[in-house]
Amino acid sequence: MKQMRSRFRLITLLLVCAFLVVLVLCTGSVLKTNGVTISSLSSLPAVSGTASPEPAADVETPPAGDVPSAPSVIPSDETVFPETDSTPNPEYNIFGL
Amino acid sequence: MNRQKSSARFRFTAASMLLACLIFLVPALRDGNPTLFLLAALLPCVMFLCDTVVARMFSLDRMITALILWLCAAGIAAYAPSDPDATLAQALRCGSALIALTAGGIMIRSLSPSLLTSACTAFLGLLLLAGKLLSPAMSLPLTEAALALLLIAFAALLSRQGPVSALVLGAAALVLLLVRGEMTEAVLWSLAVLLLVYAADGRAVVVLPALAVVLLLFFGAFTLLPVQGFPQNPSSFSVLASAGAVGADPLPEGFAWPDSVSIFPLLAGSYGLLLSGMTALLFLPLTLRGTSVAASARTRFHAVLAMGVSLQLALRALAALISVFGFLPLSGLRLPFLTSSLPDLCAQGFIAGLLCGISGRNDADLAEDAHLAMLAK
Repeated sequence: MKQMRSRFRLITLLLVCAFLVVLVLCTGSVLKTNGVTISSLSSLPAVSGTASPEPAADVETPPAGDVPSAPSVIPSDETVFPETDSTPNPEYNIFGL
Repeated sequence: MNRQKSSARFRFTAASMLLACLIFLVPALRDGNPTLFLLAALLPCVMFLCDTVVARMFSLDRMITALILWLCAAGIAAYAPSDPDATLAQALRCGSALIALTAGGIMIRSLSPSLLTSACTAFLGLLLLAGKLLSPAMSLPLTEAALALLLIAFAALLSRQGPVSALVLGAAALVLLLVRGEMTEAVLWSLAVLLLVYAADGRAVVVLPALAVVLLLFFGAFTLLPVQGFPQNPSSFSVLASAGAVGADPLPEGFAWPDSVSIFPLLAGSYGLLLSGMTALLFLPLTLRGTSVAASARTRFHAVLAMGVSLQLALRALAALISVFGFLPLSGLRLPFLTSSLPDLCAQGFIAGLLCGISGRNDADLAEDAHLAMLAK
């Protein structure tokens, strides 16, 4: 009986974990449907007014800063150009900023 | 300590009654429907009576009874804003479920893991499952009732006769479910059987062949039987989410009611995802309480049966939530006690009653132990 009870506890733990996972998934699904994403949660409201110039500024400045990063990803591939033209954007897009 | 417990319980009961009253009083005042006024008065009284008088009289678990009453109340409340007549019909169905719960609680006292019990319940369960195959005109949904009986037989065989006979019964039920085309029920039943065999026996030499047999049966069903995938979910999550956090009035387009048997989408549409999410969360304490009752049981039969009931309720709730939120393309899954199908409600009430009765028996055993300890002093 003792071993059975310990297995019961293990099954209980599995069920609780499954419930929590489903809860997280459902909450994420609800938030995603309502347009709430990690990027919208992480960006400050004030930044949204100055956000637009930043990419432009970064577009102007990035080549010097980002050329090293582009080669680090794909050394000499010119097909990366669409990304290098807006080199900061992929990085920002990756992290959602 | 007992006084503090009883006063806390009284406050909780009073708060529950007030909330139940308000859930029906608000739409009643808005619409002026006498049926809703009647329910606003009757429902809290019934909840109070069931949770105090009936539970005490038949030694039922108070927490499990309260949780089931809340789930039933949520199911009744789902119809209140849109269709008061359907609200009354659902209230009567939930009343039948509570009678079945009480019957289950009484029956478990006299139920023993004898060969006669196993044979009778196994025969009835398999007959109910095979009924649709023998008589295709029969449309009454008796799957859950059959599985409830089979669970009792399975627990009796597993605790007394051993895992082999129990697995034979489990496999027979699985074959019938697969032949009937109820894939989701078959998956839930096989999961419950495997977990129970693991819990009761635990030996790899038993669990692994059981797993192999289950996989073989599923493979055979997909290969030999006519193509029968999982039924698709007709309503998408986006429709559900259109109700918002606090519900929408009128209901957004796309909500499948009143013909739908599942009440959860209607509850979400009427009261929003917040309340429906909190209602779905009630299954977590229900599962925890069920498994703790199983762990506290004195006999193997009661322990396996209690765990089987908890697994049935928990797995069904999880699968229904996953399908409602669109993570699995399944249909036909309903949250326990949030369904308008009378046979399913009664079957779920019955197995919950078994759980309540086992809990009551645990308390009686503990009281007897305390009494014996006192006498020994």
